[in-house]
Amino acid sequence: MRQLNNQEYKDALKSVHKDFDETGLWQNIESQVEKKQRKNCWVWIVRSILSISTLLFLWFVVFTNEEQKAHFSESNTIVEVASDAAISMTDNSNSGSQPSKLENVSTSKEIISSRVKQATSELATIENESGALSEVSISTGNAKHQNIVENVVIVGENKIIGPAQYKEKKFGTNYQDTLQSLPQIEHLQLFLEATPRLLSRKRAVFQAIKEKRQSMTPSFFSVTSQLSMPATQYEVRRASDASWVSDAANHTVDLYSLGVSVNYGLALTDNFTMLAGLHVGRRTNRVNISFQDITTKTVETDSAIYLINSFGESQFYKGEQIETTTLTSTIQNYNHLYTLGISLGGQYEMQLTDKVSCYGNGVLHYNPIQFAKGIAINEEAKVDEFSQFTSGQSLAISCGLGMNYRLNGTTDLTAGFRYLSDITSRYNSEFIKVTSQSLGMELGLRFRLR
Amino acid sequence: MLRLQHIWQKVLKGDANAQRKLYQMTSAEIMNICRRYLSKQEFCQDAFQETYIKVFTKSAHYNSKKGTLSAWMAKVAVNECLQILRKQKKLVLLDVISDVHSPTTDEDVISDLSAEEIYAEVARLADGYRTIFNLYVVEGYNHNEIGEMLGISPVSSRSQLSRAKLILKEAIRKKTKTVSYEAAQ
Repeated sequence: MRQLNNQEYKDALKSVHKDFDETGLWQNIESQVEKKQRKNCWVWIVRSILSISTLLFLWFVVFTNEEQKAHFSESNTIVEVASDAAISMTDNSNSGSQPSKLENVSTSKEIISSRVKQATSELATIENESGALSEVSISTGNAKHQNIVENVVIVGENKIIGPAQYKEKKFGTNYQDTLQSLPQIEHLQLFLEATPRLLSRKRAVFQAIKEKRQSMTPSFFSVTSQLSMPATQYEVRRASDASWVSDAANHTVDLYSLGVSVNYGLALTDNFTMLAGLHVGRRTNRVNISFQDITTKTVETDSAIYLINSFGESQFYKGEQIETTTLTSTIQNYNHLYTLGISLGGQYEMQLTDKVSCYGNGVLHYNPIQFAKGIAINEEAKVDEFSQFTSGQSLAISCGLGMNYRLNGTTDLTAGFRYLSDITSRYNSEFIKVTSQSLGMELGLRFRLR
Repeated sequence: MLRLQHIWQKVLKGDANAQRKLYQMTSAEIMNICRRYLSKQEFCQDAFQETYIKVFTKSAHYNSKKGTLSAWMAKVAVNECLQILRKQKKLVLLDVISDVHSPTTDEDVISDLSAEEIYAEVARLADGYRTIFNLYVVEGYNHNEIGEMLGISPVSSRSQLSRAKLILKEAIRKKTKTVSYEAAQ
């Protein structure tokens, strides 16, 4: 017989080792560690791809438009106006008074001014016909603002390579100022050789642009609202979480999902449009929690047991009983899960009649902001803040089918169906995957940009 | 110890062989911890696996200045076990002070039982009692720390430990007498 103290208990408990399936457990651990590392890797890859895609898209939208605008409003106009001026000098040379030096340009002011008037009005007519965005800034009556070509590279007869370099200059209110500035143009002699065909080329270029624009589905800006019915799935990856998750699922009723999307659609081909925008969403569910708070307490009773064992010794055991108190409470609450993120996707559109077209699109939603308001049952089976269980970001994919109805020249009414599915879990636990799918309707307006 | 540190350096770099070696060196101890807290085998294995997953994926959290690697791993294992007990709602702890007479085990528990038999008697304790008993007696936490871990007051922890020891004492005494009686027969 010996006495047992804490240390002896400790030694006894630590010394006991039982066999277990060491290899089998290791295989599970190894696979889960690998899976987790792979998952982290994929998260980073997806994030990188999304970031790069967004940057590329923004670059494409911003810089392509800027280049087109520059091409129309500056380069062509200036070259053409300058060439118009040069034509009059060519005409002058045909009459036998060709200026041999640039200084002599000033002597042909009368002729040049009449040709500038003619060229300007012709240019305005062509631009009106083609619907080009270029701003004609030169006029004979009131010259406002004009860029002057400083250096233009001309290859062959009429081929212009690269954007011209400009020197921006403000002129007075008289076109005479413009004419006086002509001697500043370098390489004017080259214009004299090239200009006869520039005007006809100008007309051809504008015509081609006009035709191309008419054949393409225009880019657009759209505002759409969605209302759908969500269905939440709970997937447990660990046996010990099963009852908790089962409780959470049983207590929750999915109600509805609301969303608003603002998108910019960039027409890439006649029917295909690239979509990018912002999306705000809210999912609502109702939680009915009916839980029992059980407390147990051991209390002494009046009864007792008196025993005589086999050695003839008497043993006295005082009676005990366990008092159990059960408190049942029911709570009902509406939980809201908010998401804010960017969307990136593509849309295919087909014209059915003059006013009606149908579309189908697929969009990837990355929500860097996701937060929840409401209550949930925590791991200790107590009511707790819902927000602490939700992950801070999410990834989802959606597809839509619908129709566009043309209300007027620039505005369409959009209506259709949308299916949305979560890719990542709404919960921040790696052992519980909570995803939601929703199917609903969308309604919105689309403003076509020409 | 040096070998363990050497292996740990490789684990930090994500070396799969080092992870396996570390597992082989420590798995018996970790499984022993899990078994002391969780009686059901499936939960015990869950806690065991989760401990190693956390050790390998959150290895950067270990600070050698705060304690040994074994102690850190044991702490991770204990936390996993407590988490599972909470989820299973088995950790019903009474935050009340019992009036039960609190004997000190150092003076009145007398036993000739083997380690396995003592282990079995401890395993028969209710989850709450067994948890506090293990945390205090085996892991060496004080009542303040146990109170924080389990969300109860230190006084309640002390009271529950006394109760656990009392039950254990009675169980061991009965067992001892039965063994003695059988030996006498």
